[in-house]
Amino acid sequence: MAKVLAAIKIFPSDVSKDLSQLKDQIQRNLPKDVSVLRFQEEPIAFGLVALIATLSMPEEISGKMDEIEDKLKATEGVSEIQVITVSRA
Amino acid sequence: MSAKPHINLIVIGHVDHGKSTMAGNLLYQAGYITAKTIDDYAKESEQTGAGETFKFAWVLDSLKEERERGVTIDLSFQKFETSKLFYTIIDAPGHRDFIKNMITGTSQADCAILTISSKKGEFEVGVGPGGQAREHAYLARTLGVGQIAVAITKMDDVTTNWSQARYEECKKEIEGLLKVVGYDTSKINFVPVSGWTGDNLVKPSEKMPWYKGPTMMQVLDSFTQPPKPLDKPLRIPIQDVYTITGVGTVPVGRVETGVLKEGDKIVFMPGNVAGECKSIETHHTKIPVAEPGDNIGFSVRGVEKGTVHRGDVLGHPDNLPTVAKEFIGQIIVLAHPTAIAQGYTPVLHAHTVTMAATFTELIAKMDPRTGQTIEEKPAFLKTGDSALVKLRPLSPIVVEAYSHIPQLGRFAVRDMGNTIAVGVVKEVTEKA
Ligand SMILES: Nc1nc2c(ncn2[C@@H]2O[C@H](COP(=O)(O)OP(=O)(O)OP(=O)(O)O)[C@@H](O)[C@H]2O)c(=O)[nH]1
Ligand SMILES: [Mg+2]
Repeated sequence: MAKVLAAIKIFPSDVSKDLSQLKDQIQRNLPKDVSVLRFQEEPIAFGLVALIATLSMPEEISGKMDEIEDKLKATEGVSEIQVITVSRA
Repeated sequence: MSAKPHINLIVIGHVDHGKSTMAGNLLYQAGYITAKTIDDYAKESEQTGAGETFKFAWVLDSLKEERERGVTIDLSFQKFETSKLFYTIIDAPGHRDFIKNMITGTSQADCAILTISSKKGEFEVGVGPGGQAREHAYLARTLGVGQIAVAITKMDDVTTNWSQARYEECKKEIEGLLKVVGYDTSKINFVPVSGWTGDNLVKPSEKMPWYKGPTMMQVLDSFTQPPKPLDKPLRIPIQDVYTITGVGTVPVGRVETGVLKEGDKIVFMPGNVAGECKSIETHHTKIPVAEPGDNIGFSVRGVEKGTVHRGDVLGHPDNLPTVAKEFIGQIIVLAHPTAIAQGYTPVLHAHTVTMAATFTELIAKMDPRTGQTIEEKPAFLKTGDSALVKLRPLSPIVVEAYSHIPQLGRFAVRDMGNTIAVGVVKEVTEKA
């Protein structure tokens, strides 16, 4: 089964949000068949740091990407998300 | 990171036409993978009863597994280097679910290799109605990929047998479909290759002495980093907005076109919220000027929190982002369970904006092979159709004519979790 990688930028709800706690919350909320390959922190401006999550997911299951986007947006501490790129693994 | 210019290469084409095999073998021939690794895959491949068939495709798969185990963390997306450029390879997912993300993703492909098998039957399916060759060519064009090359693969296959006549036949057909989607085919390289034997990947093929053009590697080296669209009007789709103590309102986004300077008078559309850019930061560093590609946060004077949102677009007062009440889109219907008729209201995704939109008029249906109008005012559109349609967002949104600012001129149409269509903005017919 083919895997797709997605790099997604995640904006915290607040500049002062604890990012390691946010990473845990995101990990816990994602569907079981989706894995986080890594988190990077991207400093943006005036103390704001976004997370970039590289996720791996099964390609063939329809709606998986929507499910991920919904789960991320519903995670406490997440404000907005921005997909950077998707590719076959 | 390499100091060479960085460029994103997207590999597209119909399922099973040899994308992974060609990419794997290219990496091998360029010295990124050892012969031992390839042999190990050949053995693994043989054990499954598939013969050596998958040995090159598995190179990519195995790197993927390594990545999953976190062994080579920096290989999350496959990297590749030629003498001139540093590439990130994007292997386009075959599933249509991901097309929306390709259209609205902030990191766009700069160049593409369209991979099409010359094998009898396979070729005809790939370029035929519903084949992904056409769909992906259209997608590449929609994504604004200006540089494209075509790899005609599986030249070693018994049905092709290195034949120049078959190559010419395939080339002619592909030229046709690339022309229709808007490419100037006189500037496109068509390379007959075998991902399997490696012919014409790095070394000129002895089996195809009739071919005088560049190898795949030379084609890769001929790609260039596209210039930044500095001379276009300023457009920054807003990704999020913060209120930061001591700083005030801080919108965040990626500069798509134009230049933002400290002290500039600015306007957020469609809200028509005016203010001034006080200061700009990227990577927590103050910069006086932000350019296309920069991911920035900027502090603003005179803008109340709650008046600016994700999906808004920032511009300069003398060249405001275009707010569309209604626009003409040129679309291709990728998949619709039944048919699209006037009044249909799915969801539109463009840059950072998501908005329901109604098909207020089906203007014309076009022949996907020639681009000619085949039916005026069709009653409905079905899967595979390409058409001009009028779209009316429920509330006005910022979009631009693709010919003017392609970065803000492409969109995906989604309904019930399916990507129904993709398209570009031909013309904004009613401005707010
Ligand atoms: N004879 C021959 N077979 C090839 C060549 N390239 C690929 N194949 C075979 O075609 C099949 C598909 O190859 P892949 O490289 O996996 O194709 P793909 O386009 O990556 O497929 P998807 O990722 O599933 O869309 C495999 O059985 C390959 O061994 C080639 O140049 N010559
Ligand atoms: Mg593949």
